[in-house]
Amino acid sequence: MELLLAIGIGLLTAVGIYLMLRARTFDVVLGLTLLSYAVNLFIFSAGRLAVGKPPLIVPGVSPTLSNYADPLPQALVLTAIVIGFAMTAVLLVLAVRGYADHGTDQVDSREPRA
Amino acid sequence: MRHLAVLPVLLPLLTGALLIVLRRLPLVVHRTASSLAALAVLAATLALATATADGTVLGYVAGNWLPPFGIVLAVDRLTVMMLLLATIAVLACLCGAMDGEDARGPHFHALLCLQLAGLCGAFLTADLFNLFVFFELLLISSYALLLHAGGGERVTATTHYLVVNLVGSAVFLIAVALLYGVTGTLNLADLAARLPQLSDADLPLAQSALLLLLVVFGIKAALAPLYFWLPGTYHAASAPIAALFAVFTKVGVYCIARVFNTLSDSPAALEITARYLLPLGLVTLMLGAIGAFAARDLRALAASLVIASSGTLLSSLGFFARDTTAAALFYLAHSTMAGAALFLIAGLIRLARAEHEDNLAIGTPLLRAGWLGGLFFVSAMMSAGLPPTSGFIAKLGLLTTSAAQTSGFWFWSVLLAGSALTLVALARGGSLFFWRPLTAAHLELASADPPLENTAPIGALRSSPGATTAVVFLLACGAALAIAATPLQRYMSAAAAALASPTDYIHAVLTVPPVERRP
Repeated sequence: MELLLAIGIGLLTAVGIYLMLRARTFDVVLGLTLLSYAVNLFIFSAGRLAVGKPPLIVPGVSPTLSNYADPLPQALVLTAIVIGFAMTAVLLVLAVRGYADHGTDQVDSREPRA
Repeated sequence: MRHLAVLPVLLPLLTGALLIVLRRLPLVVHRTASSLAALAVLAATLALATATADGTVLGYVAGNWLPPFGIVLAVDRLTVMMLLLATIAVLACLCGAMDGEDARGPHFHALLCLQLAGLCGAFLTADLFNLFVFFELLLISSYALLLHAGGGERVTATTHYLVVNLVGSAVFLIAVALLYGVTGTLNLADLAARLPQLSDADLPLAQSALLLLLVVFGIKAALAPLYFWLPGTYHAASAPIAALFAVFTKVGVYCIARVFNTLSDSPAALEITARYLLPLGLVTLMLGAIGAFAARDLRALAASLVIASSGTLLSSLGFFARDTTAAALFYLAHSTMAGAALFLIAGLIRLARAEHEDNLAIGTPLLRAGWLGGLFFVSAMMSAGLPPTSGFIAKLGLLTTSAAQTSGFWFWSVLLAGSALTLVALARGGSLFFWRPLTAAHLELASADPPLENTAPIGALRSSPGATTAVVFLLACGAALAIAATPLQRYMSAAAAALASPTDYIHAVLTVPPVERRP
């Protein structure tokens, strides 16, 4: 599972960075979204991977990390998702506004010289 | 006041939220509410200053979740100083915006309040993830403020600024996750205790996390080669907003100073910053000074000076010596005010010269050039560091304290060369604006050019009393800095000493008592 997750994060990051380096705003938005997915998965994995363990303390089970999933990274991911969502919304508004104002979706607001 | 430490965040946050809901109220209510919020933060900061003046570190546990699990806010002398600077910048921005900039789009005052809350939170928190959250709060309101009143250039500049900072946020989260993965904590004090105990296998991970943190704070602080977002952003912003942004790079500088000094018990943290901070800071300083020399208008010149002052600060912090850090703190306070004043003056000159804007070229003669010229002269002297201004005292402090350090030679050469370039650039700007206005001869020469017919100057000072007051306020703060230099330097030496040996801070953060309920 570690290998699968690592490959997934790596792929998402690579695709995200590739798209971000392109000069059109829509690609950049997609790239940033993919990058934030990769980051969220990465934060999640910082709490170690575990299957079928509860994040809340159950009476009678000793409160060590071997019996539970670490709840803190889950809380961090939740916060990061909300913030990332808000930022993506702002960026989309800006991208649409820029397209309306300049008539081009280039990030520099002008078509590159041929 | 058991909740005093959280007031600088709570008051503007609540005011901002209320103002968003009550957006239909008249502008004067918004102006009063945001001014009152800023003044209340100022009062809370002064109360915090008296509570921490003897070196106590005031802690506050949010929601009574005890450290290291809960989020801790901590106030010491450095925090108080940064809170004060943020409040001064926000007050100057408010004052400057009341000339009508705040009426050109909705929610200006609400955004400014949220901005202040984010700034105060970033200075107060002792938790890395909480720092990320406050960063985002201050960033998202800064995007909206930068975009305020719209315009093509602003949309492009905000897009660039937003994308750079989103990448920065992603890197920040990766660093935070790495640190949590190897140490199991995000509380700064707890981190300082756990980093030195890491096993050899985990050490490289922690080191790369710290390096990523340096990158993130470097983006905020405009450290070379991460400062390319700054000139375009500051150039597009309206004058009061640019003045407010002068405090932004200081957030990055503060975070570098706070985080890496607190973690300095771990050789890993110290090694990284000591290796990169001084040389990169010097490069930033030099590039900023060259940029100032090459600027085409006063806004770009002021933005380059912000970069140069960031470079000065970061390289002097890179010595990790107590005296130099103390001098750097004085320079930090000075450069915030000088930078903000210069942006506001650029706005005034832009208004006065009509279509010639603030281009560094011969243009429209200025009405009442004496007053505006006087303000420009004083703030230029401050920025260039000429006696008897606070800039001179700040640079003198940096030079004397770094003389005995290794690589002090490089610091001296670059700082002095940069100052000389800055001085020439500012002198050139001043003489173009005030001594060589467009004369009849020029007008005749250019008579074929129709736009030059409308060269009637506007009385910038008369039509913008707010911005003028803000400039006078900032220059007065600078003068106060120069007059009260001795007690202030004593205060900053104490703050720098506490920063360099953070045992008190760490102890206080880890043993914050819970807030007791009233029986």
